[in-house]
Amino acid sequence: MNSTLPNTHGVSLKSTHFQEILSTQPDIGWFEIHPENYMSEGGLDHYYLTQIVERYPLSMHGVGLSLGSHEGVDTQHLKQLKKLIKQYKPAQFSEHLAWTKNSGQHLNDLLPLPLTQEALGIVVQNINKTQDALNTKIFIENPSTYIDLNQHDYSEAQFLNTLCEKTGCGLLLDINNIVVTCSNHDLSVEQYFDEIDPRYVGEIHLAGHKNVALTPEKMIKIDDHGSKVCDEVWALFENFISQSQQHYPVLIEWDTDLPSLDTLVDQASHAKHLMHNAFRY
Amino acid sequence: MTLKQFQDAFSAQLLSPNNAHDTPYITQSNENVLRMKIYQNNVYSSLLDILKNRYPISRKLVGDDFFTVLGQQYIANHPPESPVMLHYGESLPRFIEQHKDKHNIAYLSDIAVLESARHKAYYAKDNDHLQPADIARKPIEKLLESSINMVPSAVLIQSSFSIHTIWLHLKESDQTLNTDISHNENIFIFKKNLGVQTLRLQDAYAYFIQLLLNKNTLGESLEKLIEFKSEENFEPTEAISFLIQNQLIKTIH
Repeated sequence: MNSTLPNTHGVSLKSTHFQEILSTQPDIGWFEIHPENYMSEGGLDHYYLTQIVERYPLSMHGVGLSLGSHEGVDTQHLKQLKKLIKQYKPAQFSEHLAWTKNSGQHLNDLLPLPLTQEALGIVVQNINKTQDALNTKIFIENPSTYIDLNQHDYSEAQFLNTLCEKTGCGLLLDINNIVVTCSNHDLSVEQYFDEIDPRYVGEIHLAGHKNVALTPEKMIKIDDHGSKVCDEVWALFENFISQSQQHYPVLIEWDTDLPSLDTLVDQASHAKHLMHNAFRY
Repeated sequence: MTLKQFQDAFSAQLLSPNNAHDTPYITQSNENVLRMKIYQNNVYSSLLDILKNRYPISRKLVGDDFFTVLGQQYIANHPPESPVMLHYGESLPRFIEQHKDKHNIAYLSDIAVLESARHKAYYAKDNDHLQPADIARKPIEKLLESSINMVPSAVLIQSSFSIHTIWLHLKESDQTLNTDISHNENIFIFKKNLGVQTLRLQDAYAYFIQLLLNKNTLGESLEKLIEFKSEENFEPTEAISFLIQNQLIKTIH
């Protein structure tokens, strides 16, 4: 698989929108799925996805590989991914800088990783194994994190750049996650963007988050993918495009409190519009 | 300090939030306890949502609060063993049965079995059945000597309670069912034309299906069925038609 995701706007594919997508064929450049949701022998989800991939490019965004796990990636899971990739021929495959499993237990959340030398070696090994098994370059997404780990040998941006350098993987830059993580750990968003090497970026994610009180004095941002993209994230996206002067595949992620398909399409079209306007040449 | 030590401690803290854990790389502070709770909440609420979606009628029967407590206990004792969450919660009916002293609903685990079977049937392979023309090509003598392998979605549930009646009622209503529910009911679940069928079977049909599932030949099953319903005007051809029309035959051997 070569990464051929078009440099335009995409949205997360949700089963509640299957029929509407097929009947109205909205102006969307591509759709993204979590492949784990299609790891079944059959069902209506496969029935509809088969028809949707005849009309739109597809991106597979994994949530179960646990690339940050000291136990390594699961060979059986890689086999299931290979099967799905063969079946649906996605234009791109991406995963997260996170871990989700330990001692045979899968915790269904993207958990934080101490950004140490040891962790770097483990993630490099896991990405290499994945890229070899899937026979493709994969893209790694920067996570949203909530807890301060007091031992880091790298900043997150440095860690991601080094992963790309050592494995040849690409970077899926989630701008909402940068805002969430930097705010939650009192880090500078500007410094994060300064450190990220834009040559590695092959996809951008935009999403909504919510602000909740951690203590009476301290607010925390939760990456719930349950609302429109906020102004700060739009502005950072515009600025990144303006600086990099590149077009990218850009996704609107929305997973909770799902809106109408029209709202998703509007958000994605806005991203497309901003990307074109920020591109000067 | 290694990544393994960190991930072992972090996972233990996630799944047993009430026990004190010392996690490497995390400074002990009140604020970090609250930050850890965000991850604990993410894990528990996402898994609980999976159980609620898979067992909506069981949840309705016990109420949201009780289902949440039950679900949390289940998650703590049976965290997912696969990254594919479509399969999570398969053993909840057994967990409910083992903890029946905690609720007073004798048929709760049977309802959960029904819901779990419907979920599995939904995700079972589509169009996995023999076509009628392929079956018709088999000589009848050969057919009668053969065992029938049913499609994997086919599950027969024989309950001491009227669980089909209860399930149908609660699908449409939030009101308690005010009828006698202490009658045996046979429920047959399978996939047909991409949809999940949930049929209540008469005792004779349930007996016939059970014989086939137990690998009796078609001929043996029909003979036993005729004996079982000897006082009734039962047509063996109807039973065969039932299997074919409902796309239940996967292989004949």
